[in-house]
Amino acid sequence: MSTLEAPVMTNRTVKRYSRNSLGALGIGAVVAAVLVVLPAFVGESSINQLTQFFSFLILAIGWNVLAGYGGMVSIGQQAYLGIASYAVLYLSLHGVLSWWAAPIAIAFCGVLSIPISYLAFRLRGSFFAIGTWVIAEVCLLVVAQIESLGGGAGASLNDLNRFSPNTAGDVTYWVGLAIVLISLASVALLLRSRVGLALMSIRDDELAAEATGVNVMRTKRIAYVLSATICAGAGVLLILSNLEVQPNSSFSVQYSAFMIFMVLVGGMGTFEGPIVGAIVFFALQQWLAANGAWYLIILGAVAVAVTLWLPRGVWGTVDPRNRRSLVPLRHRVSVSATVESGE
Amino acid sequence: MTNTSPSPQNLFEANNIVKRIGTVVIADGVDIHVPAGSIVGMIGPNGAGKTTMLGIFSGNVKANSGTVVFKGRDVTSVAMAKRARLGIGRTFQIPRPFDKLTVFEHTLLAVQQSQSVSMSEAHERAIFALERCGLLKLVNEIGGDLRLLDRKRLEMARAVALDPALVLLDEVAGGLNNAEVGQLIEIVLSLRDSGISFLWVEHVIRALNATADRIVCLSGGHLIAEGSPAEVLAHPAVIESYFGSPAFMSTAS
Ligand SMILES: Nc1ncnc2c1ncn2[C@@H]1O[C@H](COP(=O)(O)OP(=O)(O)OP(=O)(O)O)[C@@H](O)[C@H]1O
Ligand SMILES: [Mg+2]
Repeated sequence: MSTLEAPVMTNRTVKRYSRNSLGALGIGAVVAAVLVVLPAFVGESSINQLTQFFSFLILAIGWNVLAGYGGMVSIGQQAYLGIASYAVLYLSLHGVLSWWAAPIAIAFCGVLSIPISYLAFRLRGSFFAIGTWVIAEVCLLVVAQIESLGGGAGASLNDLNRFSPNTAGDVTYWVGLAIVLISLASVALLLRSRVGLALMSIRDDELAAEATGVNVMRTKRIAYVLSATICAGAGVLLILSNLEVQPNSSFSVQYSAFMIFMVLVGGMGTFEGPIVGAIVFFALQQWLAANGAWYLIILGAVAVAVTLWLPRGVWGTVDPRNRRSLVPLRHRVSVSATVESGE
Repeated sequence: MTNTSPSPQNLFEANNIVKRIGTVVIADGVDIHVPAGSIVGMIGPNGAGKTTMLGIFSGNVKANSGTVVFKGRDVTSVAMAKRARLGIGRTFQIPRPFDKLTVFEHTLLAVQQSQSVSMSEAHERAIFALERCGLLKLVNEIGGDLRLLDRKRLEMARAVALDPALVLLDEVAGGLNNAEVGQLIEIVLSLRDSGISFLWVEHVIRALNATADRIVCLSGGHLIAEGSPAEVLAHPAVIESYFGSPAFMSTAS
């Protein structure tokens, strides 16, 4: 058609930044800067609460990469959470200061997730979900057998005791903040890359993605490894702030329920969704903490309400077509055509 | 044509393809060749196995036996994605857009996967593919929002953006009105002139009549006719098996 029309001079520009996203990046930078200096201004208990919040935020970010962008619904990401916690414990028992152990534990989980992905990717759909859970349970059973790591009873992390609680809390807070920022940045970079576009195409239609030349297994594996690495960040942060681990809680499937809750509420497959979801989740948790069993019942009710009335989640409802994203991930083409002559 | 020595002037050869689904015989030793620069049409009754054959050619369906040769290379065991990167594009009879990606991102994906070029060049090529398939106006729309006609155009644009040597079309003219079929014919001819060959499965005979160099008719596991459009459409076996009655022919043309 267009090849047959009169010669047309068109000016096309492909944009990834919008006023929206530039503004948001500015605000994000300010928020990050405020968070960095915050320990100088607020008390220890608030800092510790924020650290807890970071660990949930990291989990939501990690699960969203896998399920929201990769279409792979896992209920076994707690495997990496638990392994990372235990890796920190192991390293601290062998003389590595826990804070330094954090990046090593995270990297270890990233590497470990590669062979595990070969196992998990043999399964699809709901079998994949169950399979990942089984893998996490196996990890739990194995770790609970290791007596030097406390066996089934767990162990406490002692090497941070030589610092004042204030200092330890602040440093752990900064470690958590760093993991949050690095997670967000690496997800943004992935999504902006060709791998990210390929990943979203697989999520939308795997067969069509293959017909478009996408190496499906390789692309999924990249997302899986990134997700595992990020979830490991949450595990590291949980042991650094709780100063103890116990297999049944570190490998608890409850974390998967929390991840799913946060991502569904916030908006699956949106960059902002996990952040919104983690804030909602954390607010509910703080508000309801005193109410014991009611806490879980209300969480469940919120989840049901969101699936019924906001099936795209909060951010997905604000921005159903991904046009207002605060982060420049998608493409926007502006075509201004001027017909040269009436030929 | 033998399996072992593909003739160089054929861009694409499927040799001695055998395919059964359950007890249904889709192909019982079928040979289909696409010479470089040509458009080959494929017709056949509903359920004859045309879509299945395109699946065998593009790599998402396994044949029971037979070989697929593309650019002189045996690609029988090459995966679909690799074939796409090598230059075999395809469309799906029931369009399969990426529901959450923009139209532009569909063709950008294809360019990025198949060609190693700079980002700005990739953007140019992605837009060019949309322009050639008449989709430029919808460049920022979301795949899942498109109407059927535009979904079909998007199928083509995505395949064309692979910079393919061969595109397998599956009923892209179905459901189009007369004027739209005319536009489609122009698009396909201009793509052919730019060097893309086609294997086009189509029920809209007019489209094949206007474009195809050769037509083959698949029925009952065999090519029951093969030749120029005029020859094939006048072939008694084709009229019998495909159109049911000669009367249908006069209304169709
Ligand atoms: N996955 C499958 N499982 C079982 N039967 C199948 C499968 N795919 C196709 N078939 C059968 O194989 C036969 C050929 O189907 P195919 O879609 O290839 O035909 P077609 O020639 O493209 O038909 P149409 O003109 O309606 O598009 C049909 O009888 C169909 O029911
Ligand atoms: Mg078909």
